Amino acid sequence: MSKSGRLHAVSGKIPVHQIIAVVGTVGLLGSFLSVLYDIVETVGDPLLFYVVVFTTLVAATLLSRTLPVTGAVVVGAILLGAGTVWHALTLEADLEFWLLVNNNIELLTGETVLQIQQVDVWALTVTPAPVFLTWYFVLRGRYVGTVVAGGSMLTYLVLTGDAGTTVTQLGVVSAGAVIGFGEIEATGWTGATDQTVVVLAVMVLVPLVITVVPGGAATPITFINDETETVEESVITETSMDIVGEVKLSPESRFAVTSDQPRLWRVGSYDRYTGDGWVKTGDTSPLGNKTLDGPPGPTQELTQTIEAQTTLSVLPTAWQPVSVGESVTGDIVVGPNGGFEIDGTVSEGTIINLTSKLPDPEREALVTAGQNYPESVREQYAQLPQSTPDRIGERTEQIARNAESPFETAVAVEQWLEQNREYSLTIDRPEGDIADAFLFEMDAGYCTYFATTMATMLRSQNIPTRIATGYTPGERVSENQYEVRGLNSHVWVEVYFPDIGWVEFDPTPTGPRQSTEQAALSTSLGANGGGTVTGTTSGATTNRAGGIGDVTDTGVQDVSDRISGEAAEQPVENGALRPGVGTGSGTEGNSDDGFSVPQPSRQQVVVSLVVLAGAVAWTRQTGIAESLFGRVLVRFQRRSDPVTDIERAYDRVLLLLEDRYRPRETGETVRQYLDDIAADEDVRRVIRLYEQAQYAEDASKADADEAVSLVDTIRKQE
Amino acid sequence: MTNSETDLKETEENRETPEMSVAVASELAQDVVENVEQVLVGGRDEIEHVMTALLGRGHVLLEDVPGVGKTMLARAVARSFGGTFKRVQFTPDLLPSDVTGVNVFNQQTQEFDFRPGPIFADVVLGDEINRAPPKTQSALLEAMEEQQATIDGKTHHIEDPFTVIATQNTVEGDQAYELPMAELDRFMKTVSLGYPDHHEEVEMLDRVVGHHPIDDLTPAVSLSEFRQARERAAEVTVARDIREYATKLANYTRTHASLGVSPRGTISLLRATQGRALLSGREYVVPDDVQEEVVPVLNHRIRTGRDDDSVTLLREALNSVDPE
Repeated sequence: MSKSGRLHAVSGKIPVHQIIAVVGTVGLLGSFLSVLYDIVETVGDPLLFYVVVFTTLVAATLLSRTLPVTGAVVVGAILLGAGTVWHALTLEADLEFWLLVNNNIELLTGETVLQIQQVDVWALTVTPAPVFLTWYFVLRGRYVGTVVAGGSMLTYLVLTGDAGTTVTQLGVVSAGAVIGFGEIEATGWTGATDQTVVVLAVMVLVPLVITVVPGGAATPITFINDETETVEESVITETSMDIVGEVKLSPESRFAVTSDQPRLWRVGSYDRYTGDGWVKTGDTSPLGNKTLDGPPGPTQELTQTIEAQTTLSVLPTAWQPVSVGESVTGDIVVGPNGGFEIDGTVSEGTIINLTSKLPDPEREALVTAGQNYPESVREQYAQLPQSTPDRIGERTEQIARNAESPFETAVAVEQWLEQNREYSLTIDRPEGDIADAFLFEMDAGYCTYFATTMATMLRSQNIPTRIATGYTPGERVSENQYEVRGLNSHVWVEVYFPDIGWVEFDPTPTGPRQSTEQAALSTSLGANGGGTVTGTTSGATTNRAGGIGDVTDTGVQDVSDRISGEAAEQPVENGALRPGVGTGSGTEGNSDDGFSVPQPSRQQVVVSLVVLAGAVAWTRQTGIAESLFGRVLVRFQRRSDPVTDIERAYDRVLLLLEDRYRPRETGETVRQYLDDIAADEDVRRVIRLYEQAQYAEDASKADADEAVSLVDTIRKQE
Repeated sequence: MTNSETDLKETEENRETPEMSVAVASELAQDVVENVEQVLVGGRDEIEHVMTALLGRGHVLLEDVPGVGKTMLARAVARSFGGTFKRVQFTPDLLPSDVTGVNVFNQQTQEFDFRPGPIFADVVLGDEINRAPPKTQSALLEAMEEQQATIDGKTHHIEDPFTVIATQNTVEGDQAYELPMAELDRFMKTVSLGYPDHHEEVEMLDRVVGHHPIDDLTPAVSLSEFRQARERAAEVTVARDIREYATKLANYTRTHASLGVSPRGTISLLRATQGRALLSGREYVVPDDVQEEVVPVLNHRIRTGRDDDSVTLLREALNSVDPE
């Protein structure tokens, strides 16, 4: 097989099927390489990646002529083994073997590989083996080997959730094409082309309906967009935060906090930006009975009591938590970014006492903090994907042109975003880099967009920044108690200052956010019959029923507000500030939007084309189109000249007989067919009229009338 | 076809052309077949094949072991339509003139008179033609093809419905001059009578032992009627679909056998189907006619060049080529 394949190539007569198989291989390579490229590009320099891939392809091409298959498999195994070891050696920490295995298995449950440390090295070292084997096998004409090699890599990336739906489809369909057309070439099986096309179409369509692998970039394309995520679902996540489009707000209670101060209740943070989402890297460690040091600079101690009002898998605290009460210490772990996390969940009603040390720096300290960042902080928190457009940095410089310190830059960016972008939950997720789109194309967004953009802008100025997720202070239900609901979920920014630590900045305009939350809550309450909220919130309900001019959320002063001397945030009247937003154009109000014609997206158009191609191939394969056409023909007969009429009558009668008995076989004359199925006299009469018309070229109008009416009669004899 | 419709067609035909209607011609041919059947028990299919050859202006090669009634069939056919019958026993020393006739010098008129040979008849039975030398065979075959005989440079036309029914001796193959393919091609069809089955043979013995019924056989139709029927057969419509079907079948043999069917074979096939259609009382050929005639008409024109015989190959062709 391989020999003949190469002979063809030499003689210049390459069979079409072989070309398609090679094209399929390129598609398969492209699918997983694009994922690996994205990974490298997110944290490192993609130039090296090109070199690695190109070198491997050249090596595979050269070796495919001389190296036997077993040799190639050995080469692939060596490449993979050496790559893994290399990556392990670059890790600073001493990792045990079993821990590595364990981490890998964890990845396969849908955890993105982006949380691997030194992930660019990982991607570069893991790339050569599958690329080498895939290309080697296709050049040898071993199509199954091609698909096994390339498919394994793709499968790994699918299981980690890094390969998106489209990329996965590209890979799977390419693999199908390699096998299908490769085997056609090998076996010369005629008629298989249509079948292959049908199978490929099915492969494209099925994943649209079903996604087995949870999380990650794999999301089904849907024609009916009624499954809008809540903000909370999109931001309170385990290891990665994908930025989505339109969201809604959930009014359900999450927890109550007893605290002297309203704060942003932080549950986690993300350090690695991918261009379309955030990933948390690193591992957690048990807290035990320890008390953490807290921020290096001046701090202020705050005790909080959290009461879970549903099953919680996160632990909201004010930054930075340093210790936790006796009762639950065993379940608390310290996250890679310093926050507290719950290992598992805590049930409803659990009460957790926490102590936090709030950074309490003077303005002067922040301004003069300088840029003397520890190297590890700079590397981890100033990272940006290589593909991040330069214009973000340029625009940031322009916005912060008067700033002379990172702190002033951060304040400038925060204020600019608050003032120049509107708050809206009903937005379409942009293509490409989120920050770039929000900065240059969009005019409204919600907290995720504000925070992501601010973080990216600051990182473009080499200021270590990360994204924090959690909840806004919530509704103040008594002197020092706050009720926090799903709709309070929020995303903000933390900026690092040497000798001070992480300081919170919230670029999202607070007023419109609060009013939108309020609208969501009152809509929900209204739907429930109004005023049926129990417990501590009932006092506020009366006001809320009006839907205007009351407070769901307690304002919080972040550092910049406090220090830069701006007016402290006051509860804002809804209608006054952002009438358009305040009147509840949140997604809950969707039904009021009236009728709108859905515009097909590019994806949907592509999908439709695939459906069409598959359907055409299928009907060709089964002959169903002719048959369908015939079914229509059986019922309606258009009249023209007698000969044509009789021919049509004949076609109809044969279709009827085909349905009732069996189709006429090739080589069988109609008379033999009629004898075999013991056709009745009416049928025979039609056939005789047809023969006369066809073979004697003699048909009168009366004959035609008779034939047509006979067929009508026959059709009714079911 | 219903009776009323047949009548309708008949009157139309009569009005337009003076020639015999299909229905009448069909009736005549059927009469002849039934007449012959009286002496050849159980040979209905074979008689019909000979009849379609007669109607289609072709000649028949009977391939059989001796003694199954080949001569009887030929004689009975001739007698049934009132035609003349001649029999030539081909032997290795038979000369062409013994077949075609000679010019004899007439003392009284001082001229050469033509004395026609046995070939000048309506039905000529050429018995064991493969035993005659090629020169004599070719004299017969020229007459068959041209419906004329050339003696001493003078061409003599042979009257309709001149038909040769020839037999080959298949038993003593070593004493025979095998007919070349080119000459076999001149026969429209080969028919094999085969042995009668048990009941037919008992029936045949009952009729034949003692007084042979051939002696009492009277013509079922007149010669002129039969000639008219033959002319009508030539008018039977062969639609384009049928011509294409025949061509496809011929092409199939050309691509699947070492020697396929010649265009002459295709012409013969269509003529035979015209006879078959007429015999069935139809004025147009249908695919069934073709299927009926394919094996006898094409069988002897094919060399398969492989193990199975030409009949198998023709069955294959019929199964692969769609008549519609």
